[in-house]
Amino acid sequence: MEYAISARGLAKSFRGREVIRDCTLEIKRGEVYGFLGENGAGKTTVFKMLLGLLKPSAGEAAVLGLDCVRQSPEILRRTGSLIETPVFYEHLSARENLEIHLAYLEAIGDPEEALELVGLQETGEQPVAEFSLGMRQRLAVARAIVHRPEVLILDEPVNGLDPAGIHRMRELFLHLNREEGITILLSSHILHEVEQTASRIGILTHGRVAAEVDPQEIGKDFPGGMEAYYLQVVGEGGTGHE
Amino acid sequence: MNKLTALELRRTSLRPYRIAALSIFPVMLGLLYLLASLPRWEPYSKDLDVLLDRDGVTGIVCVLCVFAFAMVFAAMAAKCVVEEYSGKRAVLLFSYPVSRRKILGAKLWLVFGYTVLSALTCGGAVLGIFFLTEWVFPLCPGALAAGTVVSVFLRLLWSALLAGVLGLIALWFGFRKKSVTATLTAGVILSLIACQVMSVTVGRPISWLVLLVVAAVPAALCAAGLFREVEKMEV
Ligand SMILES: Nc1ncnc2c1ncn2[C@@H]1O[C@H](COP(=O)(O)OP(=O)(O)O)[C@@H](O)[C@H]1O
Ligand SMILES: [Mg+2]
Repeated sequence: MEYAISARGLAKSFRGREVIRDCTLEIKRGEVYGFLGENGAGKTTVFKMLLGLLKPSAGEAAVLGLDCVRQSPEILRRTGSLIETPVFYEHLSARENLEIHLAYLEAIGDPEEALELVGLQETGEQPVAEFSLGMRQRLAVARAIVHRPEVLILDEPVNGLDPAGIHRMRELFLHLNREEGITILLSSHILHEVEQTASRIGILTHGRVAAEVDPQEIGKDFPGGMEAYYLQVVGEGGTGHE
Repeated sequence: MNKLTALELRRTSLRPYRIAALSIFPVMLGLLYLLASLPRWEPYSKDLDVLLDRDGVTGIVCVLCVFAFAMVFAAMAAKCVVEEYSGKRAVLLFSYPVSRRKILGAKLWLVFGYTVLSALTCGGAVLGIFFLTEWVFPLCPGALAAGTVVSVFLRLLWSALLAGVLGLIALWFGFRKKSVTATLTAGVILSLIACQVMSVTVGRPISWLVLLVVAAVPAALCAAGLFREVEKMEV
């Protein structure tokens, strides 16, 4: 079958230091895939390669069957993304930011609806410069979904949100996945965040996806639950920092 | 104006540059009248010979125009080009499914067009006012000739273009270092050099055109370099 996202033998070095090596990833359409790894494990690096923002040193990757190096514009059109701390046009309102985004994508979308989905409908003409960290994060999600993408790539999307905000986001992701059929790849360095949203979790350590688990099934084979399993995988030979 | 330039314009706040242009206007106007009336206060000074005629006084105002608007270019380019391609902002820019060259092209057009047009508007207004009062109530010796007006406006055109060309070279330096300060510093140094050349040759209008052409060559290379750079950039 055609995967929504796939990578084979992916590698990336920065100035001779190999951050990702021989990374393989297969995500089916309709999945919510949690990408778990410590700070510095290389989650952002993998996401940037998928979007064509970084060129792999070796290996290949595809999103929606499109090659990440050669067909990056088409991928960018059909995916929504949030990478690290998102940036905006600070002097413009949330709605204007989304409108400009749509114009660059040459896509049709409903900014009001996207803002409502993330709970930012009340911000009106307020410039983004005045937004709190949580509001910015929600706006970033709105921007990622405004053009109704087929795949969402979200790098630590709930960073900086309060518990209620995290809950709301989780509901939103599940809604987008179930009702709209959007495939979601999201990363986190915090176990509980992915555990409750993802249908499958991949643990990134030492530059590759060392293990994949279904959070619903884990209790059967691993009495200690997800946490014990995660610590065992990550603990095998140190951290991702080298 | 194409779609990308329009989008660029929509998300760029032009207010600071408009304020800059509006502040440069009275300075240029004041300087022009000061220079034109100077011989009346110091009638016997030989050094002021060059300033006595209309070519001289307007020429010096054009020199100021080059300096001021090369700096406007550098400031605007630092904001819309250097900053936008630095760090996390570049991720946003590169996540649009639009050719990177085209986006940079739109930015360069906007900055170049805006700077050159403001230089022409600002300088044109100053010179227009001056020629009007010269016509009614001359400060400089001799009658105002139509030829002078044409040649002075042509020099303003060279000057406005030169400001843009110098700004472009300054941008290249700033872009390499990904630094706003470097852009502005390069702008100051380059325009000081150009203004020096211009003031020495103020009596020979054609030399400014030569200067413009000479500066346009490295500027074109700089622009080509910038296009290559954004194409292979990783963020
Ligand atoms: N542009 C870069 N230049 C050099 N090193 C980088 C660059 N980007 C990331 N790295 C390094 O790669 C490693 C992985 O980073 P990153 O992908 O951001 O990890 P994560 O998102 O999992 O926290 C880190 O050690 C980081 O320092
Ligand atoms: Mg990261």
